[in-house]
Amino acid sequence: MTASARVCAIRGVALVAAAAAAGCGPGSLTLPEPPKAAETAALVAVYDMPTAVLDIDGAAQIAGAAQARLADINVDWFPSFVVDALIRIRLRLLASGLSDDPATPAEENHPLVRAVVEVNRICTGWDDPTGAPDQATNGGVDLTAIVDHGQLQSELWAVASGCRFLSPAPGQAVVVGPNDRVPLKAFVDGTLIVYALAPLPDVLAAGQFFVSFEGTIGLFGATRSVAFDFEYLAGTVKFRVPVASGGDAIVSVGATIEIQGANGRFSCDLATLTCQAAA
Amino acid sequence: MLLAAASGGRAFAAGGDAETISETGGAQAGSTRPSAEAVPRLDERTALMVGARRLKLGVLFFEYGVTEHVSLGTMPPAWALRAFASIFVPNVNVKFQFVDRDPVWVSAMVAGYYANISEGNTSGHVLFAPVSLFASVQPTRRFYLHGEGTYVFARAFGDGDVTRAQIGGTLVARALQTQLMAELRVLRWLSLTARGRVQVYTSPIRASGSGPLDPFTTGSIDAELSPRIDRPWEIVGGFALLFEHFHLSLGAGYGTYFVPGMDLPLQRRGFVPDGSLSVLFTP
Repeated sequence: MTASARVCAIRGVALVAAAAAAGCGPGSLTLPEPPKAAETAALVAVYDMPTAVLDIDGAAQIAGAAQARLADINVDWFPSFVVDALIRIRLRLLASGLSDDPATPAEENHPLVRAVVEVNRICTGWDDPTGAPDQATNGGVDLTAIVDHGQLQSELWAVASGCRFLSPAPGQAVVVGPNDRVPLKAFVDGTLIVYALAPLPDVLAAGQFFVSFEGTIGLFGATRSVAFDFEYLAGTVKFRVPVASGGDAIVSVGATIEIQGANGRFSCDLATLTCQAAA
Repeated sequence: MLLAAASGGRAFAAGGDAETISETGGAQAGSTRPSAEAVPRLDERTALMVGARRLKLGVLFFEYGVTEHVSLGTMPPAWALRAFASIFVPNVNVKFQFVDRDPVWVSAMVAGYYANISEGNTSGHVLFAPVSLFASVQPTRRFYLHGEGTYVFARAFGDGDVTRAQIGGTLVARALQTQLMAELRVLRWLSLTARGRVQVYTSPIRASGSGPLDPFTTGSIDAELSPRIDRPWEIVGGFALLFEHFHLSLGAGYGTYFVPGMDLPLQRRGFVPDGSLSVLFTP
């Protein structure tokens, strides 16, 4: 080999080595641990299979307790707050080519994707019409989702920081009875855990999820510390009522109060709170 | 009848019905520069070159020999991806032969591929550049060994559709690959080939970025793509017809298919087809 050939050979090897060095990129991605993952999974299981053993009298007591609880926390606006955030993170997932359905497994014959997807939503505030984004005044929500092995993980979580918004949002008037309902000036500050039970929603009516919240909520400036959990199934809210004799019953309130126990389902009249076993 | 000029001290000759390979004298070889025109050679995935001022138009490679030792090219299949996928992959490669000492040849090839994975409000880009070192040796008149080491540099930028960092089920990832190909020249224009390729190292690819979803919302993603198959490999047997103006190679094997040129392994194992067709022009 001539001297010039040797020089060229050295240059060639140097070229390959330089390219290899240039390829040293950032380290491996570490996925964050979802908060209270075990507790959340246990609560979701309770909604699937309530643990309280009930009789007719017990069901009537639960119906009364449920009414009182609903009147106490008054959070029928809360699902729209959750869905508003879920809609945004769904858009972000889809824009990245990721699935919005935790039940969809990773595509075979494709590389495995792990991802942390975050959405920061500035709350819209109490002005009608909505003003310019102003996080300092109206707060915000930071929502996190995880994709592991190409599959969206069911548990998402969010931190709401002094979030102010109208419910329903401006332009989305809801008619209740003969009168338009005045938009509620809602306030949320706390930690929210969402467990998706279906694909993430693109509209409120499509949402199916479990929610656990701990923090401060309020309406028209009156705030209070609360902790609650419920399931939202495409317009129907189910919530958990602990039973003195042990276990939890799952209650939904519509035209009647429906109570699901470990040993059966009960239907109770809203006015009289009399119950009967349901088929 | 002598069919070809000397090729690095060796020449292929045909006499009567049968073609033979005859060796010429060293002095004669020394006085005649080895030329790709003299004996058609396997120049894809080897250290051998297409030849000076020769244009090769093929289904896998377009290549032009700027000099005897430098060629520029591009890979048509990557461009053609646009025809059936919403992704456009312009690419270019340069090959430089820096050792041409018959029976040893050593070349380096650097290729660059770019893909835009922007969609909607997100923007993203993937850049990957296989850097290959080829060494070819001809220990006997009829036998060549072609070795290759390739490092695939890959980077994704932005917050676009991360799954499009995979193209047709392949993953654009940093990787180290090696290949060994044995070539038995049965006739002047016919070679039997056997090759094995393995990706000995693969690094997950990272993609991250953030962007607005609407005036009130910002979304961000930090993603990592990992190959489903840890050490993809393939073994392929075949033949090559090597005429002065026409090259055809066909083969079949088993393992993980590596997309030619881009050196991207598919994410499944099975039958591996192999083929290349090209026409060569000399002004």
